Amino acid sequence: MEILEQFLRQTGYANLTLGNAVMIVIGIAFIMLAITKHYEPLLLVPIGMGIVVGNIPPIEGMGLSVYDQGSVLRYIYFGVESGVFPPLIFLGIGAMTDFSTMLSNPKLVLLGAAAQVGVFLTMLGALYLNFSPQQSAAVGIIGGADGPTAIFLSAKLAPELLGAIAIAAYSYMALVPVIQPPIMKLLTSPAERRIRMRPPRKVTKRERMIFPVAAFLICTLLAPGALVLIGMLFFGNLLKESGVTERLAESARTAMIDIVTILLGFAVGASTQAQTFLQPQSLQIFALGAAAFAIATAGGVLFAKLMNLFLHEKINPLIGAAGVSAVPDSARVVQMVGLEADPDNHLLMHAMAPNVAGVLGSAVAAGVLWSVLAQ
Amino acid sequence: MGWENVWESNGLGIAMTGLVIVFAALTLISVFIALLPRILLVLSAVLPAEPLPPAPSQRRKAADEEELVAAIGVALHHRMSQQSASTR
Repeated sequence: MEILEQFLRQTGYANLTLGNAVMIVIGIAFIMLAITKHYEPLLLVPIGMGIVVGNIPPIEGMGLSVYDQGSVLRYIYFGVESGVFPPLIFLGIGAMTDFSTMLSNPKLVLLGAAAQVGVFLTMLGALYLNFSPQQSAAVGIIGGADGPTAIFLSAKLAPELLGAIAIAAYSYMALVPVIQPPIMKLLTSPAERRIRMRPPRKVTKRERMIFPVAAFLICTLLAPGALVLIGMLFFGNLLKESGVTERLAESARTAMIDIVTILLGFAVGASTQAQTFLQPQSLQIFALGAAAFAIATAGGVLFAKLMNLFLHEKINPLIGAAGVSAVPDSARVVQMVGLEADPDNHLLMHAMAPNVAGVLGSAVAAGVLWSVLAQ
Repeated sequence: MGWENVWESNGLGIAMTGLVIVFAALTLISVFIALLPRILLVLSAVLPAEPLPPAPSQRRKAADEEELVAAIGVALHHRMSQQSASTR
């Protein structure tokens, strides 16, 4: 009887706090959103299940949670905490990214830089709210709309906020189709949304082969802090474009990125224990994250309008919104909003240029912040 | 909460520097892409546009296979000719 009583005292039913219950509901909501609304299912299902797993109260001394030394979850979480998983995901992204649209219209690359204004203005916002400079930089990078980059930088600068930042980044990435359109419509006139752009030119195989090596050298010689992320991104792209390593590229963009995504999503979810996650700071991070996405979107659109003042051949300012990264969701949103204004104006290919430039921009921004603020 | 933390942490300086570096990196990439067709003209002697011919061993293998197919063809033709002659 005593053993039974002791066992019952250790069950999750006995130890579940209100916070744990709230987090489990959030985890289930993530899974439901992924299944019913198809919002980033490849990310939200692992994260959602991770949240549920991470909020079952562990038994004292058994080593079950991500924060217990020697636990299985701890070993998986090591890939997140040490910043190993994000560069591996970048390798896979590189192996599946086609830079052709960017190579065919180089001026659109600047839109990927303009959208990073969201990162730096949000960093200032976080400083205003009394976050430390390291924490502020990690919160600001949510505006880069790139989950792996956000996780990488928070693991390096503010590991204590990693769970909240990762959840905020992925939640808002899933909500790109909800967040971006109102801002895009607010900042553009119907006539601007109807601007048609010349189809992209055909890019040769040689251009695509040379680009990853050259772009890697340009970026990392200027911002060595971005070496890991940019290096893996362009390495993956070189595997794809070289034409002689198709097997490796195939593995990187399929099995490998899938495995790492599962482990990363699940581990990040499991790190959101109510005791560490449900803090006033997390609410502030979520508010700042929303602001970061909105500012980044506005920054891209407004910069496209600024460019139009000097360009003979105008660009559709909607594509500036794709500079926030979030590949390819934000490019799809541009296509959708563009089609609303003109059902025959397809902007998807044009939007892919700032979209992939945004990935570079956010990785460079993370590299700069890491090198400036690393202690 | 307040601007004090922003000034003390040199937030504006970090933000401006970061933004300038991001713009510089992507502007350099943009310029490089714009110049790439001209660079390729210079490089065309070193990096041919067409795929390189297969290595000698692969060519030898291909030639071997052709000879083998030809020999099998001759043998089959010879055999079938003999059969058709005997059935006539």
